[in-house]
Formats: sequence, structure tokens, C-alpha cells
Amino acid sequence: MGSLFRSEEMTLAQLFLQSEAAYACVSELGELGLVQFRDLNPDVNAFQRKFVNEVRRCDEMERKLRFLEKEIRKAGIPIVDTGENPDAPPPREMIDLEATFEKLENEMKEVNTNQEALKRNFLELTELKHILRKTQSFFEEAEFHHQMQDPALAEESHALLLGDEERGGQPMRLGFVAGVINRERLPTFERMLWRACRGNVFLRQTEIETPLEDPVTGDQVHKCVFIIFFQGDQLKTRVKKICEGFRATLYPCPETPAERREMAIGVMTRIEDLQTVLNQTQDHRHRVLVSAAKNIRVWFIKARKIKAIYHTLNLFNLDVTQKCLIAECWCPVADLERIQLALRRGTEHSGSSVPSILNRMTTKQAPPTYHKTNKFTSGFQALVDSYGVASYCEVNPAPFTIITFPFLFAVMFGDAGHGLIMALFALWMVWREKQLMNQRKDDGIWSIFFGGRYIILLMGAFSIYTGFIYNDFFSKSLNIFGSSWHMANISDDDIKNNELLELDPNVTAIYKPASPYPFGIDPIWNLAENKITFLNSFKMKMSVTLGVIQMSFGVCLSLSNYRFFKDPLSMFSVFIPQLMFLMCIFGYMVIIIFFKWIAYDASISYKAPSLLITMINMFLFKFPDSQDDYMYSGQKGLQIFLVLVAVACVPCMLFIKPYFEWRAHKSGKRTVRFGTVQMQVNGASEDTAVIMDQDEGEMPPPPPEGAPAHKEEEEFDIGEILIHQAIHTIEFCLGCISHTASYLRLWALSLAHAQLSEVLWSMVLHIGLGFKGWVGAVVTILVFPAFAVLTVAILLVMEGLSAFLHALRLHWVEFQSKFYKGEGHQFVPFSFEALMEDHN
Amino acid sequence: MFVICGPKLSICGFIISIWAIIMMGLMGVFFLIKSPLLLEDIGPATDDDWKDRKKIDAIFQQSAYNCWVVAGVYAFLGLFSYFQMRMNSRQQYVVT
Repeated sequence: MGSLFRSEEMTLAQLFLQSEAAYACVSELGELGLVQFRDLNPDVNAFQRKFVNEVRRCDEMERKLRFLEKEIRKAGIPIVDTGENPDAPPPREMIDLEATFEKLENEMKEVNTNQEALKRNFLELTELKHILRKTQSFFEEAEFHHQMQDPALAEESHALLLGDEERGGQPMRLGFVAGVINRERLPTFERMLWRACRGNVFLRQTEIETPLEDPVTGDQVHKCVFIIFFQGDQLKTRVKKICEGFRATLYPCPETPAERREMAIGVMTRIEDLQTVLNQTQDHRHRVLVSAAKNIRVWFIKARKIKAIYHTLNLFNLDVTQKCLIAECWCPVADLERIQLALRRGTEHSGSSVPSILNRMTTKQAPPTYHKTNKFTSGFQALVDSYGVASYCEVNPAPFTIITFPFLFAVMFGDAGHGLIMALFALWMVWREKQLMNQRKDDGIWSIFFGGRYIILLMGAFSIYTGFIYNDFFSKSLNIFGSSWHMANISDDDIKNNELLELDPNVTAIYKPASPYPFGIDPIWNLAENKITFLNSFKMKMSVTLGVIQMSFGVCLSLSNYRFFKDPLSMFSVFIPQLMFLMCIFGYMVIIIFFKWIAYDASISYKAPSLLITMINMFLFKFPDSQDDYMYSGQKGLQIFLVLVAVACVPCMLFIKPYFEWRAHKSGKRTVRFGTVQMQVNGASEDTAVIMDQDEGEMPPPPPEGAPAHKEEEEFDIGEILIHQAIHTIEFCLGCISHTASYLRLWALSLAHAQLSEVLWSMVLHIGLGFKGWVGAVVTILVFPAFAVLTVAILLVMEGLSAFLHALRLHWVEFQSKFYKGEGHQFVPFSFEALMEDHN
Repeated sequence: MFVICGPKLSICGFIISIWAIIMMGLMGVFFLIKSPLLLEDIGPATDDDWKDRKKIDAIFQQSAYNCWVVAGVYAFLGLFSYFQMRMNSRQQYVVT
């Protein structure tokens, strides 16, 4: 059965693959993506497996590719994505690929080291050029000062140092060093120099205006040229040490201007030469990367596919003769044909003459759960799966969720205007599906919205519907069919003198009961003072009604489970009492809700009893004295009967099932009834899997002697079963009450949404419209964007999220608790497609 | 033409403008037919105004015109955003 109602029928199968054909077969299966392989050597660690070497080689290839990709991205070359999906290459091609990657990587590395060396050289030369240029000005300045002050200084020094022969009247011999330092290090460098040399050095610096490129990281760095003057060798060593410590690069700087000029010319020519060499290297590198960028995606896919295949082959068992590989896998029964076909294709590809064999096996293990979904249903299936993956072949709530989830959401989100915006947004996403799918996959929030586009579309569509029912359109009502309330019998004086007017539905001129508003709530209520009181009563009753319907539907779905798993005992001892209990209390409540709506019209509404009091009194067996206060004749008897039935259901749920189990255990034939259940519970006897006959005519052969060991493990403990049953019963009975109350959140949230949108209207748009004359238009122009943004941010996103979460809760807790176990594990097929998606 | 808005801002402006044109246009119609629901939203009216039906009608009409003025202004803004959007997308073509 290829439907969403139950998961696909799965089978364990054994594959015998010729060792030559194994690679091609697994490759075909990977393209197909319908087979989940089991690890047959779980005890062997990753390093001892057969194809470790191949996997390691693939890792190496991937590493090289990643390196290349990084280089390509750094160079800003676009990577071509042709959307091509090559098959996994045959194993012999792997060597070619390896060689190609090896060559490319080496070339890249060589070019990189060359380039780095060249760049370092270039950097040094540029720095030197700057030093020569900047220091020139320092020296010129010094020269100038020298000329200005020299005569006086010389005289003075002559006068002072006349007797001092050693100095010989010469000016002090100043040494200097010049270098380049990072601009941000300069202040500390300066301070350090000052402190370490006690102010005996003189530092001049200027900034280099153009940023220089760091050869290792490729970043742009700002640097400064400095020159330090000092006296004596001791200071020289100290200064040099400090320069070293601050990573300043020092350059030799000739002392005379002529030498400096000569050096500058030399440096300039060398820079020019270097520049041409650098450009050529750059070009070469770019060419290599561009050609690599064309293929890199395809290479990545190939390398990953090869790796995945060898990884899968590592899961297989080797036959004794080493001639064939044995694999075990889960696969859907419906697709066995396609798998066989893929195997045959794989065998042909490899040129092997011996066909691959696929055998079905029986097992005690629980098969994985596999739902075939499409792009529409997958979103809803994900909602269910995030609560718990369905047990194998259990009823899947997803097909019902498709309708009930957007519907319950819309009950809370009932506003046609907001629904329209939401639906349009989703429609756009659905419309541009293909383009959007290719763009921006990485964005987290976006991908959540995009993944749920069909859910949002339905939520929006249903919100439009409930919006019309509530007659809410941005919190305003639409009077489409004409209100059925009329302002008859009310004079102009009444209108002028009264704040409020009362419309009595009993006056036929005002309200005609025969012609009510045809669809949804009458728009007149939007003007009424008692609007909320009226709507609350309607929405609360509606919520409870919807809740009881959904819960009883859930209980009915459990019947389908019991029938499928051939469990008639639960059918009679659990399903029927549960349904009776629910119907006797809450089903009856729903019926009297409708009865009250129908039986009491405006003229006798003052006599209508409160439903809440009626329900409470029903359980207290308190009944009114006069016949007039009953809703219908025979109410007393029926209510007593219903309460008694509901109470009687509780012991039925508690004791019948344990009793029958206990009796069956005594007579020793309990296996038949629990066969399916055991199959799911037991996971201990993995190795007892037995090959089933290829042609499915006969029953599978009985398990070997060693198999039934697990039966002794399950001791029959009546106490435990009783406790289990008691917990379930109490959970259900209390759950019915609390869950019914929980459905009132439908009312609460829809009230909150309606009020919030009304507040937004009156706080924002109302202000704009309320100004006198043309000022109103100007203010409205300014206010409208605020209204739009707040509507989207608060009412659509925030309120939508809260309604979404509450709808989700109603499904997970209130609905699914009635029938859904969710104890299965997901079917994860070996598929290249999924693999590639993971990497993107 | 020159580009003032970025791609996101222009799309945002375009969508809000379309919304405003439709909504304000319709609200103008509703004001014009004197929908009682919008009674609270009309311009300010003194107690004397409320006594005279004609004055209230005039305020209703003024509100309707206001709404259409808003719709008209947003039509201009929408056109502007649309051209900005075009310019932005053209620029993108040039770059890549």
C-alpha cells in the first residue's frame, strides 16, 4: 500500500555480491536510494575494516579538493555549478583522479611558496624605498638645522672644549638606524625606547600613506617609517634589541646623500623587475585556479560518492572463499523489483557473469519506519516525526494533520486580511519554488519558512475561511450580504439623546429570525457593546465541539491499529470503553450545546439553562424540581444513565485486559495474540534472522532451535500489567477532561488575536485617520508603514508563531495521545542524493 | 536614473505601497458609502456636528478623500520603488 496512512512494508534482505561487482552494485543502489544497509561487523573498529585504505585515499582526495576550493574562493573566482550529477566513477578511475589532484595541489603549493617569497621580497624593497624617501627629508632637515646653528654652536663648543683634546672640537658622532614598524605598535615602541634609553635617543617617524600587503596572510597593513638617532655602541645594541622585540624591520641606510640616491635608483629598478615576475606568477596561478573551478564541483561529487561506496562496502561481511561480499539491508517490499533491477545493472556494468542475489529474510527485529512523501506531504510528516517516529506500520497521523493542523491554526488565527497576506507569501514561495530552492540554502530562518511553504499556504487559506466565519478583516467586519438587524422603531431623537441603543431581537421589525445572516457572524456585532460576551460564548462552544470531535476521531483511529495488529482483546477492553466514556460525558455535552442552540430562540432564551451548571449537576445527580427547568423530557433519566455508563467504563478499562491476559497465560497460549507486539519489543535476537524463500508462496521456515530463547526472558507479572493498565486508564480518563479543557485555547487565542488586531487598528491607523481635514491624509501616509510593519511583525509572525505552537500541541498531546505510540526508528536509506544535500 | 534605495528597501517599499494602494483605495470607497463600522475612524467631530447629519456626512466624505490621497501618494512611492528595484537588478547584472 503506497499510502501515507501506514508506513511502507519493510523487509530485511540479504545480498550476495561478487567481489568484482560489489562496487558497481552499491553505486547503483546509492543512486536509487531505497536501501538501508546494516553494519555486519559492529565489533570491528574503523581501522581494521577491509576498505580502510580506499576510504583513506578518498579522505585525502577530499582534503586536496577542499584546499583547492579554499584557494579558488580566496582568489574570488566563481565556482561553476552546472547541476551535473556524474555517476560514481569506476574504481580504476580513482587513480587518475588522485593523480590529477596530486598534480594540482603540488602546483598550487609551489606557486604559493614562490609567490610568497616574491611578495616578501617585494615588500622589503618597497619598505626600503619608503625609508630612503622619508629619511631623505629627515636628513635634509638635520642639514638645515646644522647650517643654521653650526656657527654659534661651533664657537660655543670651541670655547667650552678648548682644553679637551680628545674630542678635538668635533661635533658628536651620532649613529642612527632606520626601519619600518606596524603603525599600531608605534606608540608603545616610542615609550619603550624613551624609558629603556632614558631619553637619550631621538626618534623621528612618518606614516607610509599606502597600505602594504602582508605576504603570509595577504592582509593590508599600515606601517610607519622611523629613524632613531643615538650615540655610542651600547645604546645601539639596546635600540636594536628593542626594534627586534617590536618586530620592526631594520634596513641599512647609507649615510651620505649620494649613496642614498644611488641605492634608491637600484631599488626602483629591482622593484620594477620584481613586479613583472609577480604579475606573471599571478596570471599563472589564476589560470590554474580557473581551470580547476570549472571541474571542482564534479570532482567533489565523484570523490564523495567513491568514499560513500567504500564506506558502505566496509559494512559488508566477507565470504569464507573471499569471492563474494554478503550484505544485509532493509528495503521496502514494494520496491524490491527496482532494487533487483539496479543490482542487475550494476552487475552488467562491472562485466561480471555471476548475478548478484537478493534474498528476503525473516527477523524478530523491528523494521524501520518509512513513509513515502512528496514535497507537499513531507512538511506535515516532519511535524509528526518531530514528536516521534511512528512505530512500524502504525497509523500515521500525518494525512489527517494535513487538514486538521491548518484548520486548528486558522481557528486561532481567524482574520481574513492576515490570512490573505500569509497565503500570498506562501503562494509566492510555491510559485518561485525552483528558483528559490537553488538560492540561499544556508539561511536558517529562511529555510524553515521555505520548507514549510505548503503548510503556510494551507494555514493562510484556512485563515481566510475562518476570517470570513468570524467576519474579521483587519479587525473590521464586512457587510457582504446585508445585516439582518434593522434600525426600525428607533427615532432620530433616540439616536441623538442616547449613547447606547438596545436592539431587541424579539421585535420582528428589528430582527427577522427567518432570515439570519447567511454566512459567518453578523457584522452588526462589531458595533455592539456586548460583542465579546457574544463571541466568547460562540467560540468556547465551538472550541469544545472541535476538540471532542478530534479526540473521538483519535480514539477511532486506535481501532484501526488494533485491527491491523490483530489485537481483538484491546479492541473490546480498551477501545470500546474509551469511546463510551468519551461519548457519555463529552459527546453528550456537545449534543446539548447544539440542542440549546436549536431549541431556544430569542423569545424563550431567558429560560435557557446554563450548560456548565447542567453538566456539573449531572455528576452530582442534582436535578431541578419543576419540569419547566429541564431542557427536554426524560433528561433526568438519560443523564443518570450516561453517568453510570461512564463510571462503569472505568473498571472495564482497568481489569478486563489484565484478566484475559492472565487467563491466557495460564493456559499457555499467549503467543498468538502477542506475536506482533513481541516482534516490536524484542531487539535482543538479531542473529536469528532467517532467509525467506525467494518465491513467497510458502510460509517462512520455522526459526532454528536456538531462537526462542527470548521467551523465557519475559516473565508474566500480573502486578506489573495491572499497574501499567491502571496508569493508562487514569491517564485516559483524566486526559479526557483536561484535554477538553485544553481545547479552550482555540477560543483564548482567537480572542487574543482579534483583540490585538483591534488594538493595533485603533492605536495606529485610527490616529492617522482621526485628524481634521487634509492633515489626516498626511498623517495617514506617515502612519501606514508603521501599521503595515507592526501587522506583519506582531500579528503575522508573532501571533502566527504562537498559534502554530498551540496547534502543534493540540496535535501532539491531545490528538495523538489517543492512538499514536511513536516508538519507531526512521528508515535512513543509503542515498547519494541525501549525501550531497548534507554537504551543501 | 540614480539608485537611492538598496535592493531590500526598494522591495519592501514596493510591497507596502501595493498594500497601501489596495487597502486605502477600498477604505476610501467604504468611507464614501458611509459604512457605520468606520464611524469611529472618521475625522474629529464636535458634539454639535453629531446633531447634524449633513456635517457628519461631510466629515465622512473628507475621510474618503484623505484615503484616496494616501493611496495616490503611495502609488507614486510604489512607482519610485519599482524603478529603484529595476535599477538594482540591472546593477546586479552588470556586476556578475
